[in-house]
Amino acid sequence: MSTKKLLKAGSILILGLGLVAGSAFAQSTNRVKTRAMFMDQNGDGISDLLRDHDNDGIPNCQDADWTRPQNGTGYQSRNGQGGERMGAGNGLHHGWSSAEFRGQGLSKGPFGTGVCDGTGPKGNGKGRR
Amino acid sequence: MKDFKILLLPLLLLSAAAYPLKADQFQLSLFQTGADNLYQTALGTSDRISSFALSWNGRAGRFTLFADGDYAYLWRSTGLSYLTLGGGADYLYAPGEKTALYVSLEGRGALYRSDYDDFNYGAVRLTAAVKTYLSPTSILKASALSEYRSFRTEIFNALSQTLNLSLDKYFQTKTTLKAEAGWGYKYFLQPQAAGTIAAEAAAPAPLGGGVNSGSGPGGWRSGRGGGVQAPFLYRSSGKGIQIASLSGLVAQGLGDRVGFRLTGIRQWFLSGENPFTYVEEFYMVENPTYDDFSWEGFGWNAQLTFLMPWEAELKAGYSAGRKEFPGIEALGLEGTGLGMMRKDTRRQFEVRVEKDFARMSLFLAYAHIRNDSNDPLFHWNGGFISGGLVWNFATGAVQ
Repeated sequence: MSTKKLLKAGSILILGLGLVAGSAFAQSTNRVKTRAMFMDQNGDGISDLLRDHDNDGIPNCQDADWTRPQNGTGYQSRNGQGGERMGAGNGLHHGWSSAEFRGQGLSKGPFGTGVCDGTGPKGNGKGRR
Repeated sequence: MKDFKILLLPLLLLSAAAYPLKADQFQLSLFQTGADNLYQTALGTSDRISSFALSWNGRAGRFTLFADGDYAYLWRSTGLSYLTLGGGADYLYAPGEKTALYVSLEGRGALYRSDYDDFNYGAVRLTAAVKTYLSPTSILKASALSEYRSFRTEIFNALSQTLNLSLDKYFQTKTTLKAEAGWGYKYFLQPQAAGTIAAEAAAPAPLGGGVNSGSGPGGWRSGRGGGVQAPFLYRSSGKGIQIASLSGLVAQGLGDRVGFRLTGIRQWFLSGENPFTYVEEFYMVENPTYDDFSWEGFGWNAQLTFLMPWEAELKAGYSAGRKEFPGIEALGLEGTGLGMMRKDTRRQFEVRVEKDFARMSLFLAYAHIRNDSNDPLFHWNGGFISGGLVWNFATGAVQ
């Protein structure tokens, strides 16, 4: 193998390693951003960006395996309201979803104050005796 | 026959949604609830409810079509079992990463079995909303909702309009602040159509004016004292109710896995009062005497959230609130007016455990509620336990 070919192969190898390292760096940067950014659209005091529902070590916002629930609550099954997703390489962006707008109304704000029952059926009891 | 007409719009929307779409997403829910006082009255009736719900949404160009159905079966009071159906289309326009506009048109209906069919309804709802990120940690939201709801018992037919404006702010200290202002107006289209009931009761009845009797369009029910009475009483004053509310939330993360939040809401009647002095029996179902437009007062809630091992989540909360119901009078168990407006004070403790998987959630919850009221029927306490699963799945190429 000539020196020229060796140099060519070496350059490709270095370039490849650089790309892999760059990708890994970008990923770790995203992780850092995930941890540093605080976003709490469901108002429970815990960062939405740390949730990991399938327990695979990858936060939902970065997890290709994870599907955003379509029940109108957005970030998680019943408690969230947000719509954040981490971008592939450019940090945080807002992954808009119709689901996060559904369920509007006077008592359906971001609070879940417990003023509404939330426990009872839509059924009904008997009248006064 | 009219009951089925009520569901026509949701069914049409469901049918329209039947053609193949690029991506369909489904959610299947199964819930079981049981309690020693399921109906939340002094009578303390126990029962169990099993419910099954299926919801769907799929993309159709720039629109999302959605539909859902929910059937609930009551094991003892089977005559109160019910079916709800809904469906519609929404459109989301995001001109950039920071702002999105949303419009939705939907139809919704409910069919209750015999004991409850006065409250069968069909509704058309139009929603418009905007959400914008003022900064990466500040969100401003505004929404408007218009609804027309038509009941089997026409006197409850109403138009309503609500407006909401909220601002969220997140801090790197793991602190969340939220504030929201709301306004609403509800207009009863024909409460005077209470017919023969209204004929006697329409005289501007002061609180404590007594209980009317006679035959009405809603039919008869067993009433106070074991007798028979009208299911509702109408007063002539006012057909429109205007309310406003302010609410706020403060949440603080305590480390990465524990969060605490405190919320509060205050609601006022700006004008009008409930045109129905009471609606017999129907406490838990949304009705003119127990909905967003029926009360003024305040409430607060404190809640702790723990992220446990295996990403299970535990929530424990305490809520308290005081509600007054303008226009609605407190009645004795025998049905005589007590000469005062109904006032309730509620305290509630609840705990909930939830485990989320990639596409499925399981939960178990318990709540204990104590409700003190100057209307003895609504002076009660009880425990409620519920559990269930929610399963999300998709067909086609999810975008």
